Amino acid sequence: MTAAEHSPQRWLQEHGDALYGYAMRQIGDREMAVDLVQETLLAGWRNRQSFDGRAKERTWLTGILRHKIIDKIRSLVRERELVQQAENDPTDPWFAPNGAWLEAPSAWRFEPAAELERRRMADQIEACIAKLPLRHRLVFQAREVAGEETAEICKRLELSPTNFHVVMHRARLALRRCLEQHGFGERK
Amino acid sequence: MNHYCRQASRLVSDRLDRDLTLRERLHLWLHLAMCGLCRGNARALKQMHRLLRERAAQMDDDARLDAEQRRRIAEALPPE
Repeated sequence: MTAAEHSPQRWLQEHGDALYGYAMRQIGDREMAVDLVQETLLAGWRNRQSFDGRAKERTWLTGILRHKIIDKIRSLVRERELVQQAENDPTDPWFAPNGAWLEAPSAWRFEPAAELERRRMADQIEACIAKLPLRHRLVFQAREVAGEETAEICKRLELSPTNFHVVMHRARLALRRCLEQHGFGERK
Repeated sequence: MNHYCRQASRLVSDRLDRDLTLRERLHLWLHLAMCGLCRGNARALKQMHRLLRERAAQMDDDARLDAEQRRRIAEALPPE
C-alpha cells in the first residue's frame, strides 16, 4: 500500500468497531474507549510512513491502540495509591481481626444454566464493575475481561504480584457483594 | 480462636490468577472441607470468573461505535 491510499476516515469506517471493541475490553469505559480510538487514528495518520504494508492494516492500528491503552492505564494507576487503597483500608469490610467472616456470605447454590439468566447476571456484573474504584476497576478489567496474563498486567501497571493479588481479591469480594445486593445468590 | 477464612478467600481468588503451591492447595482443601461459608464463596468467585470470560468472548462481535461517537471521531480526523 502506498502512502497516498492512507485515509483515517476510511480506517474509521473499516476498523472503528474493531478498535473500539478492543479498547472496551481493556478499559471498560465508553468515553475513554472513543478517545483512544480517535488518538489511535490520528497517531496512525502522523506515522503513516512507518506502515510498511507487510502487516494487515488493522493489526498495525491495533498495535498503536495497544500502546495508547497501556500509557493511559499507567497514568491512571500508580502502585503506591493502589496499595493504600487495597491494604491500608482500616475498615476491612469482610473479615474480623481473627480472620473469620464478619457477615455470612450468601449460599450461591444455583448455577444459572439458562442462557437468559446467565446473560442477566453477566449484565449485572458489568454494572457492578463500573462501580469499583477506578484503579481497581482497571486492574480487574485487564485480567477478567481482557483476559491478560497476570505477569503482563504486573509489568504494564508496575505492580508487584502481591499487590496485584490483593487488588483482585478485594475487587472480587466487592463484586460478589454488589451481585448479592441485586438479588443474585441466596441467603441461607 | 483464629479463623482461616480470610486466607482461604484470598487463595480462592489467587488460584484464578496463578498456580497455587502444593502447600497452599493442601491448606485450602482442608479448610474448604470443613467450612461451608468458604465453599460458597469459592463457588461464587469461580462463577463470576466464568461468566466474565464468556462475556468477553462475545464482546468481540458485539462492540459497535454508535453514530454520535463515530461522528465525534470523524470530525477530529483530517478530512478525505
